[in-house]
Amino acid sequence: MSTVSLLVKERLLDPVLEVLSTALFGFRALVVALRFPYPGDVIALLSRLLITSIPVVMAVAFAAGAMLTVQAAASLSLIGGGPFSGTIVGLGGVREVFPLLAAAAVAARTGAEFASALGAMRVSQQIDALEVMGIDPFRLLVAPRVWACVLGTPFCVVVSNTTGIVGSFLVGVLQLGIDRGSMWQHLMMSVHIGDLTTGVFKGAILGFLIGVVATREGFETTGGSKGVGRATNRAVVRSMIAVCLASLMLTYVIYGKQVLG
Amino acid sequence: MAFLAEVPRVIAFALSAMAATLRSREALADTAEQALSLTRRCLVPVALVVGPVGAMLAMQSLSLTRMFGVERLLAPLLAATVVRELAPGFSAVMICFQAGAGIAAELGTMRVQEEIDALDVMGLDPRAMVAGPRILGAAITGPILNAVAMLIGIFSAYFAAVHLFDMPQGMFEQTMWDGITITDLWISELKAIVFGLLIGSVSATFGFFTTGGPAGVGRAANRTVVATVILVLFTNYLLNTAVYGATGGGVL
Repeated sequence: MSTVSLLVKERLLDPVLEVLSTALFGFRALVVALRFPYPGDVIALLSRLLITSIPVVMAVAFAAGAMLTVQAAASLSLIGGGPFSGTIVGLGGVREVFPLLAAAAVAARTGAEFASALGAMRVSQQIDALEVMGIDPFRLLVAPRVWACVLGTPFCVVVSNTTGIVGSFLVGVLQLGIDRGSMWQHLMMSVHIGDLTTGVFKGAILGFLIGVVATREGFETTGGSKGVGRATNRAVVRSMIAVCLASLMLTYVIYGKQVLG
Repeated sequence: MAFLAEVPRVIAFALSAMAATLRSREALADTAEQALSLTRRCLVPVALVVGPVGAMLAMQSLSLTRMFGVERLLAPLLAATVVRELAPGFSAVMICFQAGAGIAAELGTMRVQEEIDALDVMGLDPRAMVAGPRILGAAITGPILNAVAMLIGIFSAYFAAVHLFDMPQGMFEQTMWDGITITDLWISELKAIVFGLLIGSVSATFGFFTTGGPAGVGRAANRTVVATVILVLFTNYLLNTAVYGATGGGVL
């Protein structure tokens, strides 16, 4: 093959094929997950997801809320600064930043864990053993993990919103010296209940993407312990990219008209 | 937090690995190679994450500035946010995800396949040969990716504001530079170097001391990602407070 066609194949064709095969995997996971929900496994995986991811979500959201507040106060110093940073956090933070970071934390913690667990099962031929015994590994391994992500991520989004707002309030009051009542009022004024439910809905979609990408990368692991590391790595990066793109699309669909006014 | 117990080990290991690397000519050549390979691996993920986030930022801040009738402030605010926070922050997070997990997985694999022990037995210093070049490579990659992220972030915010949401093009172009100074750009690059160094140190240490076979490699990569992301976000906050002061320094 010539260099040009090789380059086209590597840079253009292979990524497209990867995306398509992930989409196919996701579709199959969706069908299997809806047909065979194992509540026991789902609950076990879900509680593990919540226990391990929520500390990460809280740390990330707190730091982001604090950072956003300081940055917003600095940016808005011309139009009164201070309390208006509450408006920015209440609006931009709750709509975009906190859900996105919650999804990133779930991808980093649980997505990576799912990929490395399934990858280790694959390279030690446990998944092949299941197939030999006539047990569908999709049903047993993939479906409950996707369910756990779909159910757990919205909860992480709620935690992330709360922690982010608390972080913003604390930094606003303690570091920037904004009046307590005024800061709280601006924060609460700009949070609409609609934005919170949208965040939960968004969390479920992002969770589905994380679950599918992570289990797919783990499921298709090849090449020993090196392969497990590579699968973990890919799962995190690819689910993060999927989450960002999906988040942008959802924002455009939900808020696009509002911006044009 | 179990991670806090690792802090002394990370500091001791990273410092000795970097010192060993700086003393050896071959390890320095490896460093350049690692920097190149890490940059190539992270470039597409950084672009694919910072692009959408920049556009999202433009969309939401446009709805906010239109609410107050201060659309004129949009471009400087966007530029300042991208240069000060978004580009260094998100490029660092993607370096954690891609390069951090990658470094931990590579070193972890070498450890469980006993390649590191083999180097030791042959009398070669594995810290200088495999760990140090990756730490320094990550520190070089940080600012390169940050520069790319700044360009992509501002461009996608510009594209979203002007072409999707009808903001006057001239207004954006003329006011954009009001929000940032050259000093801001250098501070942003400096932050990226610090982040790269931190990510490299933590991931190399976690990978180097992997135990427990293939599952252990996955676990090391996983722990690395979580620890580095949290570390980066808190360091970002501390650095901002140190550089811009407690009130963040006015933008306009």
